[in-house]
Amino acid sequence: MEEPKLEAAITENVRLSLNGDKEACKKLNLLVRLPFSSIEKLYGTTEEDYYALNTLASLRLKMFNDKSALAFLTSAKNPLREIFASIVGLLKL
Amino acid sequence: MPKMPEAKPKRTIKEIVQEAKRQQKLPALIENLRKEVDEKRISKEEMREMYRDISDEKKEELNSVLKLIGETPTAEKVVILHMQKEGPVKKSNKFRTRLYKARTLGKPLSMERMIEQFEKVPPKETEFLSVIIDTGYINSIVIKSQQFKGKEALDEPEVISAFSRLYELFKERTNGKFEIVITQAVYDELNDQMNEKDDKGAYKFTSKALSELNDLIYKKKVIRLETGYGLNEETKKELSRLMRKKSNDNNACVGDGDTSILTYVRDSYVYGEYGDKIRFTIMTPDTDFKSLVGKCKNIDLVSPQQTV
Repeated sequence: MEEPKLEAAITENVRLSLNGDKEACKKLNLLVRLPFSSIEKLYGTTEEDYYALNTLASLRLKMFNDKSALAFLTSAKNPLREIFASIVGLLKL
Repeated sequence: MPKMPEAKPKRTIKEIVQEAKRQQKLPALIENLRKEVDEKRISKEEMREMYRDISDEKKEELNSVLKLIGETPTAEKVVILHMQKEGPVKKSNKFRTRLYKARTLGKPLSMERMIEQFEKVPPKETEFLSVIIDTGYINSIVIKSQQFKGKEALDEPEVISAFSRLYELFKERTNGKFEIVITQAVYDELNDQMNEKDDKGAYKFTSKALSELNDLIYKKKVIRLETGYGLNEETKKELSRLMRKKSNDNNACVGDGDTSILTYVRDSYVYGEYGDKIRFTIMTPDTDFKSLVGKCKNIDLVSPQQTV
């Protein structure tokens, strides 16, 4: 059987964490130790991947005030920037 | 504040985020996730354990991924990526974990009591053989290779061939029901002796020997490193007292490696799954063991000169 791709595994972990899976939260606790600029490079480009990536950026921003996470969330290239604008807005206050 | 939905793994991130957005509760959702994630911290010790259990091939693969994303590969980062893809790394040895945990639960059997029991009670039919290596045994392999082959010996995988032979021998003799163990304290003692010479000028341990030993532990899985058995001052004092009593030598002192080996013996006997049906073979040239456990009926002491 072919191994799952890393980006797919990360997206799945974000999804499971949001669904309350404790084991997946443990994996996210590890993942957010990497700078967002590196996490971003691991990523796929499906819609669900983008939702996962924005969620991770929001987490990194909240937990570590990561500037590259902020840059990603506010970037014109981010198709979900409007959805996640409330996260950035709240932190700017 | 919205609660994260429970046990609904079929909901996508998009569905969860959009619902929170509609209810204007996205910041609360992220805050809740942050709390959940923050609670699930993994200790450095756990990370080290996980790293040890990742195969070399996997480590190499993950090192390349890390380089690709511009990260300097470290053990921690390798574990981070490994966990994402593979799930929790199964600890390679449940026996070890259970023993170590059990030891912390109550007051352990005293060494004196254990040795008394071992001296009096004849061993039952052996179901499992635990082979434990002492520092001096590995020293003797390293020293011997220099005596016989001179400088060329440093290019020969002496430690690997010695233990590979032992592994095959015990495998055949016990029908696979055995283990070869090195404790953390013995491993640390060897590292401390790096490039130290004995009284005849031979190296006791070398970087080449260390790399061979690591190969046996991490790659070939011939020897198991018992990380829970490092320094233990209290047991060391207890054993030193016992040694003074047995040898009538007021200056007798038991080393860290010896202490860790006998602690492992005790824990395997008291908490291990084979109970009194386990037999121990300590590979050692050290006479301290002879004074302490030489009369024990279920402990065999094998020096490098002996054949097992």
